[in-house]
Amino acid sequence: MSPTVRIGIDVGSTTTKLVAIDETGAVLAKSLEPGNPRIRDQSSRMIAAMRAKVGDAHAPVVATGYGRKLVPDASKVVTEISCHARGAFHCMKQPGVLIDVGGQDTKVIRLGAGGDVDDFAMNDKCAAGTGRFLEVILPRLNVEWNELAQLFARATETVTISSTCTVFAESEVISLIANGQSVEGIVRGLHTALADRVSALAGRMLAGAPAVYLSGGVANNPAMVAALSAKTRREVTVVPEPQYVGALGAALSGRG
Amino acid sequence: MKDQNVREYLAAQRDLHKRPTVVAFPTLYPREVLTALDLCAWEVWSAHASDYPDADAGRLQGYLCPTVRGAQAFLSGAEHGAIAAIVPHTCDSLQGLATIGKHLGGASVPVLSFRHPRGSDRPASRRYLRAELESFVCELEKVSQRTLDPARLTAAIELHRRLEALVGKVLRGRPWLTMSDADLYAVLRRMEWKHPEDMVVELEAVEAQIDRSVPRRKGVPLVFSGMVPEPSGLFETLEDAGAYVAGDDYAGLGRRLPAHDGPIDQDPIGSVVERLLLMPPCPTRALNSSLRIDRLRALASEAGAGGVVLHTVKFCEPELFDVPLMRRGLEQAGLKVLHIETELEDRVTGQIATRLEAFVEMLSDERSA
Amino acid sequence: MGVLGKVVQRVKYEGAARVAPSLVRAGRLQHQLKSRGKKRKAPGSELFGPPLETYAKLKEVLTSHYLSGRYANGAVPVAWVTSGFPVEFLRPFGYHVVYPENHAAMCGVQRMGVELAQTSEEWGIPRDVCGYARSDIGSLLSGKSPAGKIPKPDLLLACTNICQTVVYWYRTLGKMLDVPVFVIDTPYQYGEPDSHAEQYVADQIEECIHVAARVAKRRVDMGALRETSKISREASLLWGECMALSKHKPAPWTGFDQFLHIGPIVAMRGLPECNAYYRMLRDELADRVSRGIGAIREEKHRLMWDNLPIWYELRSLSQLLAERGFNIVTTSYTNGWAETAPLFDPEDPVRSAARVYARVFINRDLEYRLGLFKQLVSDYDCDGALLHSNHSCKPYSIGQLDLSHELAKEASIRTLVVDADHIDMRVYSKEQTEGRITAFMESFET
Repeated sequence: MSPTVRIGIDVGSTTTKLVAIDETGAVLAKSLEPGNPRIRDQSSRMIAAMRAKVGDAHAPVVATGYGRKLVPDASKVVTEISCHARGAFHCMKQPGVLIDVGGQDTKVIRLGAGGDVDDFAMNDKCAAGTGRFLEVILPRLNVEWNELAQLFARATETVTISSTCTVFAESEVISLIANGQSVEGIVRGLHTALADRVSALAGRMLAGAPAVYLSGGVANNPAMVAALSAKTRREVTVVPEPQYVGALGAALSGRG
Repeated sequence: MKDQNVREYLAAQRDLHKRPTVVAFPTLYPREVLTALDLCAWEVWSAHASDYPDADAGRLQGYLCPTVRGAQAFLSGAEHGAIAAIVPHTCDSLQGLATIGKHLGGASVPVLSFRHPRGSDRPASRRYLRAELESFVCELEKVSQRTLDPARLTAAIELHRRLEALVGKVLRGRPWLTMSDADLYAVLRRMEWKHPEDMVVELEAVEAQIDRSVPRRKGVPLVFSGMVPEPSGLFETLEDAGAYVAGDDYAGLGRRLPAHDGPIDQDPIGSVVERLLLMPPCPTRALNSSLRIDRLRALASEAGAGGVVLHTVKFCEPELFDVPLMRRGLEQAGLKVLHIETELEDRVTGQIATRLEAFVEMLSDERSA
Repeated sequence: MGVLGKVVQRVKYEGAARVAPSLVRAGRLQHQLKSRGKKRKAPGSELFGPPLETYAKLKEVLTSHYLSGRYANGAVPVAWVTSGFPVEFLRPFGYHVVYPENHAAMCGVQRMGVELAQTSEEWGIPRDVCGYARSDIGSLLSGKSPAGKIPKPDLLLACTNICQTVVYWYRTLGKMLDVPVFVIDTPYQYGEPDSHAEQYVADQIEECIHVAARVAKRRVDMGALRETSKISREASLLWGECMALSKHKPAPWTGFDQFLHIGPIVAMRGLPECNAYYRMLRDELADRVSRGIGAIREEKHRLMWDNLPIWYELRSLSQLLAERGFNIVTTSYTNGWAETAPLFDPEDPVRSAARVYARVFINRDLEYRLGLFKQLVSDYDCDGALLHSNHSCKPYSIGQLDLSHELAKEASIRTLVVDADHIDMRVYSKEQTEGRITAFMESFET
């Protein structure tokens, strides 16, 4: 008898996500915690909790994400590239280009007609094109994540942030504030800078893509969606539950 | 201490065989001339600045490539016991390193340059290469206080050809070798410092293991093209992911096997020039990139590989500039391309591992589809 | 295109060059009319002497050049060349010559560099390669340019005397545009120039002349070649005279002015207009010297600049320096265009060009460069030097940390290495750099 419930765990750099699905691929439960450096302990605890929740103490686990190899309960390990592709295609059902902006990784994946990975790109070591860029700089502006969309929409100008290096950009923003630039304009400038970087990564893959999808924690930020749409001159669709796309894909990878 | 075994080997060569050491930096220089003069080459492809605490630190900017920064640390801080160092003209940065060594006190030994012609192969570049080679030989004769004997050069060319033929056979026979990539590259990379005679013996043993009567090895075959196969952990990552290197176009290995052998005429220097010109296309000599695309396509087709990994070292302009054209040219031939960039780090970073594993997943999905 | 079409295009091409000066003048007049009565001065202008009058002429000269370019295709053969290419040999064949580096510098001054670089990065060019190449390729891909329309090349010509990068850059252009590329390779000169390398360069120049003739469908005319090499030699000498006037105190212009006025010697070498322009500039500078007019109001300290300019910060940096009485009086970069030109021998244009172009300082070893720096510091009586460590330009920047140290020691001056990029603003940290330069200037006062 093959198991009916499957669990996917995505051990990302900032958060750990779990998704359990049934044999049709429908989501039964999900959970999320901030990442703990003790990946083994945290993953075991979260998996146990999830198994209890879905009432299957032996539900098989597929692990993905940067800590994927440190999950003792996993019966299979798959990269986040393949899992994101699977998860996104499962939700969107159409080929396209998936942009996943995570805490420390940004990936761009071209999904083929059957949801397979056609091509992909990832950011280099630098954090400039990732969610970390905003995370570092926003405290300097004294704004909360949930204010970003409004500020972005209210901006009457885009203040150019010329440095893409996160460290340089931080000092640049401090001096922009000191010079009396509007917070709205800076917020818009920051998102534009991030969109520029992501679009450089996506490069040729965007040309002729039937659709552009966005996932990852940053997808919950409408300002980012707006900035990416403006940069790519394309409609950018957020994948439902964007933070769980990788975990969902991992769970799906467990199916025979 | 780093490179202890290399140092011991070279010390023995020096003491027992009267073969002094000459350090050589990437990429192309006439190795057979060193052999003919009874010199041992120690090729330094990937020195790590952190291994040489006595090196002059802070002479090079952080945006120069790690190969050059490591080379500078090695030149100024390693106990290499060499009588000279060769810096071929490979790129603008290595050329700068040569002059720092020659003119600004950046090296404790004489630095010899070898300026390969860049651009297309033309009659003028042949004439120039010959003159440059002659002046290089003169310099080398001076520092080693030896004289090049044409008969010994002919013999050295023959020895190197034997070695190259073996390397070629081993690389082509890869699918029928059971040893791991990590082990194979460890053997091949000993060519960077072992005398060719010893290498011939070592590679003959590897060649003997090739058994074409058994099925090809399992796993996804890939072609690798780049400067240096490091970190060596790449191969373990690859093996764990279910793939192997089936075609090699690394600058120090596959890219140093001449396209074919011509007769060695009365004029062995002329043969050395020919051999240099017959080396596979390498962006450091600024040859037309179409030639490299053709070569990689051929390697992939011979190896049955569906994917090519372009493996660059950060800030390496010759290799980096080729990436977009290579990608287009290879994709047009239906090949998948992955570009990875390393900095001669000791370990494979998570990001590189993920890229490689995802690439293998992508190719295996394609194969199973 | 038929014969008539060609003739029409040719008339347009030549006409454009003639109307440009009046267009520029009209534009200026309009600007003056609009701003009449407002008398708004540029911020910081009180720090500087009156602007050079020749600057208006510079705009005219360059505008004619770029404007005529719009009509070049179909009228005359077009070549894109590197700044260190022996362009003299193209002149007799009537080529319209485009300098992608010069164009990239314009993009830099207009702060378009990053946008264009991003376009080429999206196309696949990695970020760590030269920013000029990225911006130029980005401009080609997007069609965006501060110079309007750039004519497409019939021939791409690169010379390795400034870097190896140009070969990759031009090969990429060649593939994108499906245009032949000819490379003149100038082996790096360690120590005294060697004859076999110069022979190699001369052979390639010779070969290139025939390629250029073939593409232009013209015959090689050695008499005309001699004539252009004479014009070119004179132009470089004139440029040298202009710069040498800064040996006077106060210097009549700044190094930043030189960066802008370098345009014609880079892009128009071998054309009589170039020489006429520098004669005019020299006369104006000489006049300033005789009247004691300085480029900055109060010249207290004189600096040497090494490497390419930071194009997008020319204004803010010159102001920052002028505020404290610092003037850049000489630069290794602008000096390069006058340095080897006296080697031109109109009687032996090919072989002498091989010397002129293979011996440019950037193609010579660092001992030579140190000697050159010391010479400049002494000739121009500098008490400090700023060395721009330029991420984009490895051949110009490697060794600078040693050079900075040695120069400070041997010439007894203060030196500072400034980390930046000549076009990519993204790797430049304005706050940190200006802070460091200010601290450097303060050190002169203690």
